[in-house]
Amino acid sequence: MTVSNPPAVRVHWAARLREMPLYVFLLLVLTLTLLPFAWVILSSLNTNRGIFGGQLIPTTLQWGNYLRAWQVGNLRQYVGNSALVAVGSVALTLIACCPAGYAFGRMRFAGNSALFYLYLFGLTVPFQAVLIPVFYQLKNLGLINNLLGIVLVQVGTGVPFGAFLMRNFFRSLPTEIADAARMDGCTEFGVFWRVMLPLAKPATLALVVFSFMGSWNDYLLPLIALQSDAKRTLPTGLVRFSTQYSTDYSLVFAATVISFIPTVALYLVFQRQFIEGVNTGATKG
Amino acid sequence: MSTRTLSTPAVAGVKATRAPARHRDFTPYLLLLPSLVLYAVFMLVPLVQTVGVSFTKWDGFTSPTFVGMRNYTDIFTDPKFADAVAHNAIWTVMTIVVAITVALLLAATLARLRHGRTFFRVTFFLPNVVSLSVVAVLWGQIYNPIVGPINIILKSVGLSGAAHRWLGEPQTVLPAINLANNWHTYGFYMVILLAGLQGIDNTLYEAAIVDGAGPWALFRFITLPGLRNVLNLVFILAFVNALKGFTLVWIMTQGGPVNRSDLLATYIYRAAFLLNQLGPAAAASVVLSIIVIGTTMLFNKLREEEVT
Repeated sequence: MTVSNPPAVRVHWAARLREMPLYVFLLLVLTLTLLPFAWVILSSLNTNRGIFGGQLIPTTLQWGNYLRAWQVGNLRQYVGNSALVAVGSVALTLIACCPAGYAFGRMRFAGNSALFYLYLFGLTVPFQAVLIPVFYQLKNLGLINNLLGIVLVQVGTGVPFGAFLMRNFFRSLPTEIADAARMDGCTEFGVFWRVMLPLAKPATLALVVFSFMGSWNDYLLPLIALQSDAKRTLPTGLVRFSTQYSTDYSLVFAATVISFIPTVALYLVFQRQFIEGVNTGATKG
Repeated sequence: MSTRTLSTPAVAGVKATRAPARHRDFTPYLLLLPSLVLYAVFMLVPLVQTVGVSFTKWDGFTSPTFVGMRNYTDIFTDPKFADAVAHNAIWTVMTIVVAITVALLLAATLARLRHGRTFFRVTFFLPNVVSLSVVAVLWGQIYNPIVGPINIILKSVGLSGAAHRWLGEPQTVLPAINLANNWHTYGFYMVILLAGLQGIDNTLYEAAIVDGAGPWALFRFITLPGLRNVLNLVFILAFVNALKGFTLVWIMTQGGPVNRSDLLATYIYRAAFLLNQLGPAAAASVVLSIIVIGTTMLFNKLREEEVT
């Protein structure tokens, strides 16, 4: 063992040296990834004169652009609407998916696997498959141009992922705790509500993060279902804002930065949940 | 009277023993109820309705009339539908060649990194958390012929001839939008590939390095074979995501110029909500959905068979 060690280490270092192009590649992609962010942030702090003059880096920082972007137009309204929809969507997703995930993961009942396959099937269905009837469904319910309509559809189409995520987590919990609670006379609902749900915090947090992001970033549904400017959420609102002030570049850039700050901040805090969610969603679906 | 009094205790006794059992029987259904109602009303029922609408002529205002397979024959003979399908295919290939190749090389590099792996992973995934509508507005300005940095840089290094109206010219529009999409998505594919790489036995690498294998040999003979299933998954996702792709194209060009960036999803949206041709739009939705659902289910089935 000890005899063969030194040459192995030497070969290892030689291999490391030959890997240099890969590290250069790593830094190159890193730069290309961050450049669009850097450019839009720098431009959002520039004057329109500087932007028109082809200036990539501003000479003075115009923080006032952010104040202007926030005050002219309806950006505040869009952010407020997006926040309302996202909070509603997250809350209702939890109410719908936590119990469903528990039922699928931990309870024996007639039709368990058939229903579960029905939910799993939903993971494969693209939104285009329901786009047209959903519009008329909302119209019939009087929920066109209504934020509640957006919440209901987002939750309804998000049920398969949420139920699947929670079911997988509940299944991974040990059975002994639930059995002990049952021995102590806990009802089945009590076992779920008082014992198992508090244990499912990691999965619940991942579900919160994912349903929030899905709701906040949703574009197609608000595009068809919200018609007045006062009801717009941020994704359609930002597009409207950027055409409304299309010649006021610094304003549009500031609004763009304002639009991605919440999700980027959320991501930097909960990046582990994001990665987990990607792998859960991708490996089925 | 006497029979009734006789039977009552018996019934009560049955109730007393069976009540908890019956209660337990209903709990799972009650727990499923909220999700099932929302899922049925906003997904399952509309799914069936889309199929129904696809067999009708309907403008959304008057009542629909049954036309059989007409909408399907119409879209299959519509050159714009064929264009959209072709753009979807090109989009998928460009995504695989650019985003997935980059993602694979990054994942392979990161998997062997000792320090800073989390930092790189977090940064590479960053564009993916930005909403596609923000990406569309941001990259729309990057491609801006006057104030966009691409043309500014090209002009400043004396390559004015290479400056384009990237989103306004038929030859450049689809690759330009696809590049914006790749910037947004490659981190997502990288995360999946990285998870796949962690499933490869590390001693294989150690043994190969001792045998004098270089980085390319390691990649070619250990990484690629070990990743086969995950790579297939990523290819399927690229294909399916291309079919779902709507936001970037719709915001940046609405499918133009002259339909040169039209994808299936934008074709459907235009037919349904701008032209009020709900029948053909629904037929195209059904075609798209069958491809997406079929591909995903087939892939999952093949993978399950491989596992067992």
